[in-house]
Amino acid sequence: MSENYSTGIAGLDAILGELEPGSIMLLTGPPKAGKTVLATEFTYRALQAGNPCLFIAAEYGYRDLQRNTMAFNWFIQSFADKLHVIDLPTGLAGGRPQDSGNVRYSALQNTTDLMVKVGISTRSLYLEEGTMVSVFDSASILLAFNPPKLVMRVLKAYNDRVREAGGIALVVYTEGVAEKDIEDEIPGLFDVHIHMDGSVMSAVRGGEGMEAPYRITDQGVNVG
Amino acid sequence: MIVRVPSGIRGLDELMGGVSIPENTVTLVYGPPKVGKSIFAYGFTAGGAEMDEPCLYISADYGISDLKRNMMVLGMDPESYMEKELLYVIDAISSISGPSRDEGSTYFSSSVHNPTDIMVKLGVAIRNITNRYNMFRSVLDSLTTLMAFNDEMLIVRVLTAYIMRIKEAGGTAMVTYTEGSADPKVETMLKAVVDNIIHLDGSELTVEAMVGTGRFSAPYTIDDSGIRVLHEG
Repeated sequence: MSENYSTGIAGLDAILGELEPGSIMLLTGPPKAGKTVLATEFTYRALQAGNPCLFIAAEYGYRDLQRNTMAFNWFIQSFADKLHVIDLPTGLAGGRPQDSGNVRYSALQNTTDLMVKVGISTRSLYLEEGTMVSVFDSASILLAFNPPKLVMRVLKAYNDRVREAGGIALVVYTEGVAEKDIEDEIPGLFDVHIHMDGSVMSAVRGGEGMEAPYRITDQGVNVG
Repeated sequence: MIVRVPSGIRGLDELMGGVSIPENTVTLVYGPPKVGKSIFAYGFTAGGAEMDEPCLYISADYGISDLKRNMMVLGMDPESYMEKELLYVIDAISSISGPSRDEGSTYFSSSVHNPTDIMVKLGVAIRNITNRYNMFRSVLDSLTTLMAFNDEMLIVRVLTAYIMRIKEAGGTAMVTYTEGSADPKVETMLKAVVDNIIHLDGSELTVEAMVGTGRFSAPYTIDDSGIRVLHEG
């Protein structure tokens, strides 16, 4: 039985507590509330703690992921062997980006290919390491490229893959981009729901909620 | 370390310590109609051209003649920018009203009805620019007009592709959008996919989000040289 996880972000761990393997977190909030900063800090802290990570870069490509983390002096490149990336949007730039190392390219409009690649990464991380952390930033951009029902199925399948691998995951979603019935249904797919509104972070888990103020500094997300 | 480039907007760079726009990012400039969003984009374009940094301008609101006139009124010299290959224009509107003009190395004719063709021309123009320059700017003015002629979600996809193309080529871009013109869900999506957001309301400029910078506001005016951001106190 694998050990429990923590996010590695001090103030967030204080309101979340430990996370059992298979815990899938949803992170919602309006645009530019700091969701991506939290997601990239979570990735970096996981790698630092020795957990391998599968990062799905959906709203920006691998290059931007590297730059976003470098702006905070989080050098994810030093963990290249433990970081798997599936980059969805870079192919839109017109070239044919070639997979290299653990960085694989897929496409925002090809969710079948995405799920195949998620399956390959989660299985190999599970077999090699027995633990894994995954980040999906963001699931909401998929809604511009695919029908909402398909996006819901992709999220379900992604969550299942992470649970099977005994990992934990953080799925970022920009609120207000889909019809209300879809957005009301999404939190039901997740074990933990974290919300960032620009100044207050709340976390709901098993019906219980906690909240704390936060701000984004040049050190990352400062909660509490 | 965030590298920034001059915005070309008088007062804005000074307010931010000399340079303002994070390099290789995309900035959304939005607000109600007639508050100076296009004028902001002209300032960004001319600011680059004046320091020999070319700009690839996708003009969906104004045909090439109107675009040139609008810039000339502000004391800018679009003719000479184009001659010196410091201004490349994809004109997506002139073809609607008449036969398209001859294309040249810095002028491309496309159509707001055909975003795919705009993206093809974008690819050609980016290649022309990056053959000669390491850094460039780009403007997409405006998303609102593209949305008026196409499905709004299609334009979100086109914008995502535009952003990836500009960023992969090393460019820094600005896109304009008229607040409230699209479905609120689409507007939220636009704000999510860009890096920086600047709001103009006619008298106040607000940096709502910018890589490495907190939110702040400053008053601005528009005079015969364009936008001027004022310093309080």
